[in-house]
Amino acid sequence: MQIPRLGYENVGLGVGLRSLHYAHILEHQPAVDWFEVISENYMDSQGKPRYVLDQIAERYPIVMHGVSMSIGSSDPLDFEYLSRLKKLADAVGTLWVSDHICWTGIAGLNAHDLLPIPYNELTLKHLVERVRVVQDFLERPLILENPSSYVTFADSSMSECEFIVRLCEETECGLLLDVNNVYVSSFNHDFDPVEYLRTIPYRRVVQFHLAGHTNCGTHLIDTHDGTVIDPVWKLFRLAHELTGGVSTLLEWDANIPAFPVVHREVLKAKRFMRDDIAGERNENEPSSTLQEKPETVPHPATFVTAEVE
Amino acid sequence: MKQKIHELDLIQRWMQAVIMNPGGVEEGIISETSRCEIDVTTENIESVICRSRSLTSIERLNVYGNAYYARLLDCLTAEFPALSFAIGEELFQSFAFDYLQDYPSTSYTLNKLSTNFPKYLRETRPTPTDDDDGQWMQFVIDLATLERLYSDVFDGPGWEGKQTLRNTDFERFRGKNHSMLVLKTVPCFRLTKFDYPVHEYASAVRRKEEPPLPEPIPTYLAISRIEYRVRRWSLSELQYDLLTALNDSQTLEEAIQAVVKTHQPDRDSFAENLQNWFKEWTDASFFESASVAPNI
Repeated sequence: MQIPRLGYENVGLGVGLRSLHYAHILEHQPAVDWFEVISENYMDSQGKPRYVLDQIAERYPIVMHGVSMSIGSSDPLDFEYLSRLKKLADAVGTLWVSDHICWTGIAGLNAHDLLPIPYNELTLKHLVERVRVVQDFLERPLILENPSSYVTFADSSMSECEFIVRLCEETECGLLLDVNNVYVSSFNHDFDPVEYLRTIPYRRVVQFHLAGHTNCGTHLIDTHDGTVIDPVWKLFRLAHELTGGVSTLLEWDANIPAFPVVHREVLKAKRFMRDDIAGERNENEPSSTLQEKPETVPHPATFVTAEVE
Repeated sequence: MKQKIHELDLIQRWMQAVIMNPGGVEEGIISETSRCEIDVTTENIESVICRSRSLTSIERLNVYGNAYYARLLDCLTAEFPALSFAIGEELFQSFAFDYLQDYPSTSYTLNKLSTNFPKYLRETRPTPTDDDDGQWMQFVIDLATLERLYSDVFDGPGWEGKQTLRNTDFERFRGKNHSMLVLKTVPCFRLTKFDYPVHEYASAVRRKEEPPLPEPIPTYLAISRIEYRVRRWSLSELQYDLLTALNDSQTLEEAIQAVVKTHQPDRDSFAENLQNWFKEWTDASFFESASVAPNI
């Protein structure tokens, strides 16, 4: 029988580390269970971002979350990138290393976006081979996230969910289940998010992501620019029941409020882990507000600007 | 009969060409670049990208196409706040949009996205005419160069937590060795010169002021990092030349002789100035260490 969470600990409720909050975190040392960092912001840093990460890693568990591995690309794997990723992972003692089921560019370019792949036997074989190579190189399981997506391909012959099930079976990788992404993609591609959650190999889920999104009426965009809406919390409750609880993290990447606001948002998850009040408590919580022309675009890789005196 | 599926690299080359097309997704679909990969048009696009309940295939691709440039323009605007303020957001984004077509990102990190931006502005600088002497564009290039330099120094190698050369350390070399000293600058130390005082302009914008465009003044700067914050110091031309010579591993004697020859300063005041400058520069942690050059 599969060990829950691939044997990784449930470290509680975490927050995505963003440069805007560096000073607050270092000064106040808030009671956050853990932090997730965008790997690419720290892999090459020899300045403040890396200095802050080292300080925070001394006090909190750290998880590295990447946005440029491009595991689904047809370009060759970038072993220089993987070397730097591994070096950082060893240096900060990351609990695990995650990235996305996507590609970010081809022919040497990087769109800095999480682009979808067709789901079929050919692409499954491609990903299985690459995930195995990466896991061997990193000497640890790769934890892969289900992306939000906005297109489906005529070349797809299986659902995203089936693709993920088979990818997990064949590579023994872990899953970072982004509950908001399930909701966003289910709306955009007209599938049942509950059935999705019941189908995925939930014992392989190592981590959850939660985030806000933008409702454009005809489609949803994964902008990470606000609070988590009620339907996503409901999906989270189901995911929590199915998995028995895994490390959970809130992402907030645009219109970022003060740290205590972000922290309070992830702490709301506690309500949905308690069966007694979960059902009725949230009926009046907001669902997403309609915004036909989104004011923000998804920023998978957060950008750190220079501090100048 | 179901059509044969495309190889993954074909789909990816096609999709990248479509969403990165500066004219938009529809132009991207009919471009030669994308049709070399998959020969579809806007009419039969559904053979590659399915429509959804609410959106056509093209509208769905537009989500990616719109986000591609918007995301990278956001990053460039954040990295060049003073330049964006100086020339206005619209013109800045026009420069940046063109730049992204000539120099699309080839790195896993966004920190390198703007590496070639100052170079691009120099490459595309209009030839001066009778009506436009090109000075304004020089200001734009100077400001872009400074702001990119700030990024490099901010996240590049530094010297925090390590001992730097103190003024009192020169005592150890008093006597015959003094003139043969070679000073090593810290790895975050940079020297640069501009036609405009762009450092003052950039600082004013970062303080949320609304500075007027400055008049040209030859500007010499030292830029470094202390406690993970970027700092800059105005220099005279002589100081700049002296530090440049030292940064090029010339001995103290060679560097001083070179600037004396070029600038011919008053001997007495120069000697006093030198002492004050080295005190300022060591206080500002410009130098890692000093060593005596080997006799060759």
